[in-house]
Formats: sequence, C-alpha cells, structure tokens
Amino acid sequence: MPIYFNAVSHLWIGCLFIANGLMLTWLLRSKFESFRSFTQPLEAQVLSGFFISLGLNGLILLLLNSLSLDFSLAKWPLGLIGFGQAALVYAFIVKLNAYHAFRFEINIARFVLYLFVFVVLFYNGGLIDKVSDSWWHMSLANKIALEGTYSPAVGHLIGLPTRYYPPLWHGNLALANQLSGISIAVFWNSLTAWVAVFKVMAFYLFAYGISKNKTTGVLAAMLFVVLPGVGVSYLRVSAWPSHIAYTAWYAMFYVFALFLDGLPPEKATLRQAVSQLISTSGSKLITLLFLSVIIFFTHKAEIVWFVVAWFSYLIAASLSRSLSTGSQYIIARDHFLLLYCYRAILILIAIFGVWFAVNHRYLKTGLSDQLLANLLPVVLSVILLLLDIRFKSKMVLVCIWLVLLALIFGSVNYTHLYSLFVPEFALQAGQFYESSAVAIGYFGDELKIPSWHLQLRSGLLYSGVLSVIVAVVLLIVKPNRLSILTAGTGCVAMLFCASPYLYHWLQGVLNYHSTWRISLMVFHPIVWAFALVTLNEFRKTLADPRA
Amino acid sequence: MRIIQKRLLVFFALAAVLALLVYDARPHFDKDLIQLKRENNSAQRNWSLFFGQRFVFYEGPFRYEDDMNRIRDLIEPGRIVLSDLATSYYAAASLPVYVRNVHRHQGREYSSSWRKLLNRRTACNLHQQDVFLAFNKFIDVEQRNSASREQPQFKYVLVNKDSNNKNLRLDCLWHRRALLMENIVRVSKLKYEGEFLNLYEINDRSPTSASDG
Repeated sequence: MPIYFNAVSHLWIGCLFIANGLMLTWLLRSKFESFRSFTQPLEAQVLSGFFISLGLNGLILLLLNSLSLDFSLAKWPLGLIGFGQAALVYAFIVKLNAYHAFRFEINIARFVLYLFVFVVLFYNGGLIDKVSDSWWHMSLANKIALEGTYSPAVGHLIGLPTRYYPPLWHGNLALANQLSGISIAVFWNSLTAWVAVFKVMAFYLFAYGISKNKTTGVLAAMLFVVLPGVGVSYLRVSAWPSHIAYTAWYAMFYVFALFLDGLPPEKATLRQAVSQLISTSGSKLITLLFLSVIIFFTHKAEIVWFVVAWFSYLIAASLSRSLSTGSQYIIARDHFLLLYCYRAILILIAIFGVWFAVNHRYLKTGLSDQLLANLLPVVLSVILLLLDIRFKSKMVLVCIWLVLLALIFGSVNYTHLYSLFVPEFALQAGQFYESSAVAIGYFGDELKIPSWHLQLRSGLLYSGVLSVIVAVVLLIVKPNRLSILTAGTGCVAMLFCASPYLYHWLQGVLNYHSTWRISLMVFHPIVWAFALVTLNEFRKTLADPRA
Repeated sequence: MRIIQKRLLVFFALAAVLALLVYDARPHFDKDLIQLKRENNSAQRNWSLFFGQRFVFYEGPFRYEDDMNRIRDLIEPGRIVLSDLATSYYAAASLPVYVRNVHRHQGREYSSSWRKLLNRRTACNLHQQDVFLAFNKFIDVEQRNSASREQPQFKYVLVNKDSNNKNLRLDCLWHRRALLMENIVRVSKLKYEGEFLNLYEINDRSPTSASDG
C-alpha cells in the first residue's frame, strides 16, 4: 500500500486552507498592536490563518454562486489575492523591517505534541474506513462541487429535498476538489491530521487563556489528546464540520478570556466601562464575531454552547460569591459588569421561559410533567436572581439555597444517573440511534433524556464525570476564572444530562436532536491539568514552607 | 508530623490522579482493541498507535478511483444508482448521481417502493423468477413515477467486485454479486467493466417490454 498516496493533497491543504489567511494575519499583526497582542502564540496565528482562509474561500464561492459561475473559476480571485497579499507582505513587513509581524511564541513541549498528533493521525487516517455519516457530508461536498452552488437543486445523497446544513466547510472541500482534481475522500482523509492538530492547538489556547499559565495549557492539551471525551476528542473524526466548529469554539473561549482581562476598573460607571471595553478590545470583539460567523456557517450549535458555557460561568461565580465568607475581591467573579450581565440574562430567561410555556400552551394542560419541565427553568432563574442579591439575613440565604438544592436534586432521575455506571439499568432508548431515552416524570408523563450510549458513557467514564467533582473542590479551594468556568460548565452539563425536566425543556427550546452535546462543556482535561498543577504547587510549598 | 501527613496526602492525591489518567488513556495504546472493534463492526474513532493507513486504504474507496473516474464520463448526471450500501456512499461522494441504498436516518425510509425493494433484498435474489419479475415491475413503476414527479430516474446498477473491503460485506448485494451480475444483464447492459466496479445501464423501457424476462 502506498502510504503517501495522498501526499499531494497536503500541499493543496497548505495553499488553500492556510496560506492566504496566514498572510492576512501577518498584515493585520503588522498594523494593529491589539491584534498582535493576542496572536503572539504560534497556535493563534495558525488558527487565524486557517479560519480566515475558510472565510475567504467561502466568500469567493458565495460570489461565484450568486453570479452563477463555475466554482473552478475561484482559482483566479484566490490567486490574485494570494499574489496581492504576498506583495503587501513584502512591501509592509519585509521592506519596512517590521519583522515583529512574523514573530511567534512556541515551546518545545507544544511543538512535540503537535508533531506527535500530526504524525499519528497521518498514520491513522480519517474515519472513512467505516460507512458513517462522513459519507453524507462528502456527498454534499461532491454535489456542491458538481453543481457549483451552495444549495444543490435536488438535495444530494438520495436525490430528494433534504434538510439545510451549513455549507461553509462542504463548500471549502468542494473548492479543493474542483481546483486540484483530487477526490473529496482523499482530502477528507488528509485533512483529519491537520484539523486534529488545529483542534489541539485551539484547546491549548483555551486552557492557556483562562488559566494564564502555560504549564496548565500544555498539560490540558496533552490530556485532551490522551483522555476520552464526548465526541470532540475523537481525533480520527476531525475532518467533520462539527469539529471545525469545535476548533473555532475553543478559539472563541481564548479570545473571550482575554476580552475579560480588559475589564475596566471598578470605579468607572456602566457607560464608561462599556465604552472603554469596546475601545480597548475592539479587535477581540471583531475576532469573536468572525469566529461566530464561521461557526454559524459550519455547524451552528457551538454558538449556543458558547453562550451556555459563559452563562454557566456566571452562575458558578454568583453561587460561589453567595457562599464565600471572606471579602476577597476576585475580578473574574465580582466585577460589576459581569453582575449586570448575569442578572439581565436571568431576567431574560425567566421572561422567555414564561413566553415559551404560554406559546406552547403548556399552562393550559393542567399539572403535568411537561408543565413542570417548562416552569423549572423560570423558577430556577428567579431563585438564582434572589441568591445574587446579598442578603443580610443568613437564615433567608440558607432557605433559598435549600429550595434551590431541593429543586435541582428533585429534578434528577437517579435510575438514569445510576445507569451511567451500570448500563443494565438504562432507561428505554429511542427508536433511532441518536434518539433520546424516555424517563417517566412525577405525573406519569414521558420526558426526554439523553441516552448514555450516545458517546456519553465512553466519554465521561471516569475522568470526565469525576472531573466535575474535582472542579467544584477546586472552585472552593482556589476560586479563579478557570475553576469558576470549569465547575460551572461541568455542573450545568451533568445536570442537564441527568435531569429529564431540564433536558426536555432545552431540547424543546433548541429543537436540536443532539442536545446531549451540552456534555461537551465538561472540560475535564483542563480540570485535571489544573488539579495536577495545584497539587504540585502544594507539594512544593510543603517541601519548602518559606517558598 | 502534620507536614509529613500532608506530604503523604498530596503524594497519594497525585498518584491517584495520575493512575486515573493513565487508566483512561489506555485505549490509544491497546492493540487488541482494534481487532475487537473490527470484529464487532465498531468504528475506530479515537487515534491509536496501532491503527495504520492500510485499514483506510483497503476499506475506503481509494482503490476504486480509476474506475470512478471512467464511470463519471459514461453516466448521465442526476440519475439514481443501485449498489451495495458502502459503494452507494462512495458513488454519492464522487459521481454526479444519487443513491437510495443508504442508512435509515439518511433517507432510506423516504420512498416506500425503494424501502420495500431494499428491505426485502429483492435485487439480491434475481435468480428467482418471481423475484426477478417483481424487480422488473419495480423498474417500470419507478421510472414512470419518477418521470411524473420530476424526480431522478433509476438508471444504473453498480456492482463492486472487491473482496478486501470489509464494508462491502454489510450487504447481500455484494455477497450475491455473482448472481446479480449474471441476472442483471436481463434488464440492463454492461456499460463499463473495471478492475473493481461494473456499471450496468438499465435498458430503455417501452410499455411492451415490462413483461419481458
């Protein structure tokens, strides 16, 4: 078997999916100090190059699509842009000695990790040795290439109208196929190694961004590679559109964490604070918007998970604040802008929850599990709002906490939770593989709940599920941005997977068959990396108490 | 004394965390797991030190590319191809055609006539006269319906002769390919004979030819 049978496709990947974006990244770095500041790590530049290239290619295809021109014509604008940018790089960077635009930060551990991932995944290849959904995606890419349009006239696989799927990644594959003449399957196989590296790079940035510690970042990236996880850790599946979106999702966490670093001083008024934040973090906001657009046209769902993750962060911040006995001020937890955002979101959820229940006529059904499922988020929002207000009376605080805990623990299906560890106790699964399981509520109604077999059991046992407990311990022992985020996201994700009431509501609101992917928010590699670093620091302190 | 206790505690905590991480990381380094997964037809989603490109090469469509390229020039775009499950997906990803032999959640259930044909394994038993007549009738009805509904027309049968690709074994159309090739020529003509793939084009139908065979 010729092991390098797809070697040429790697050259095309470099040209089509990195070169143009990387040159634009260098140009932006040479001109904008704020952009340069957060693209200093090599990972940030590579990812910037990748996503800009995807966006640029997508935009050119959109133009050709709207003019009803053949996609193979994209070589002209792409070539022009490439040569134009090369000339600009020479004129503005090389000639003006602005070499700081090329500089990047990397260390040997990260470099070796990425090299290892690339070599292993090059050797393993993509998941095309099985008849899986990857072929559905390749079929769509093939029809986009053949018809030269983002929306093939008669669907694609079976020749009948089909559901809309965000076409950016498929369009890029179609473009690669049209320009190179190499089959989509070969590209799919080759891209697996590249995107696997990009995903690990993005995860490093994410961990580094929220921890501000390179050791934690590197350890988290290593653990991301070796630990099982829900879907996202399947490196042989990296060429799927969802994994492109996961990569952008992690990059968004990195940029948003840096955005939070720019929170203005406490003394400022709300208006001053917001305008200062916008003026100092404009490039980060634009980057966040750009990455959101990439996700929206690639897989969509990760935008929701991004918002849910930071909302979970605010919940954890608020709850830890309400329990904290000291008066220590933690900017990542106690900043007044975060407080405003949190309260506003809670009020919006409560209003939306009531609207959703009224709109779906749940209020008219009488007392039922459906009604409970729809009212629970509203009641929880109100309780969280009350807890965010600092009560002078400890008694009131304890009472509200007890109600919150009663509601949360009362909504969990313990047979389902137990069946995570003992599959024999699993609830009745749905008809199709991806269908939800069915749990019976207090009033005998059927409620949806994610079946553990959906990658969840293999992804959560054991480091995943144990990391949620460890994250809460770390939040108590060492409250900071990382511990608040990982504890908040881990608890919220596990709660939605164990509570049929909350899961049923979320699936109804999102109208998304894979709502179980909320479990992607269990960021266990980061938790374990932080735990190891913290334990090691503690060990050093014990060895030398003066340190 | 307390410091020693604390040191021991930290040591055990570190050891426990590392042991858990090593335990969970094992699948990447487990050679037997690959064989076990292959025997159970389970996908190898995680990377493994022992999973080589040979699996992808022999159990993917790469070796059929020459055949696919030739076939691309011979077929009428926008038609429906009947093939085994795996080859159907390979064809959809590289040819300008549509397929109906797909997984249930990807549209197999959409057309009741195709669902019946595939679920009853009609095309696998063309050597039986009654089944052959049913298949013949199916072609007539399907071509008539697709014309009236302006949907893609069933025009080709693609037979994969490869014996190294385990994915092909999911379907009786591959297991009984010899019988299929022997009988399909009664309603079609051999358009292309390649190293791995044979393409048959369904004969043009006139009202009288429906009772042939």
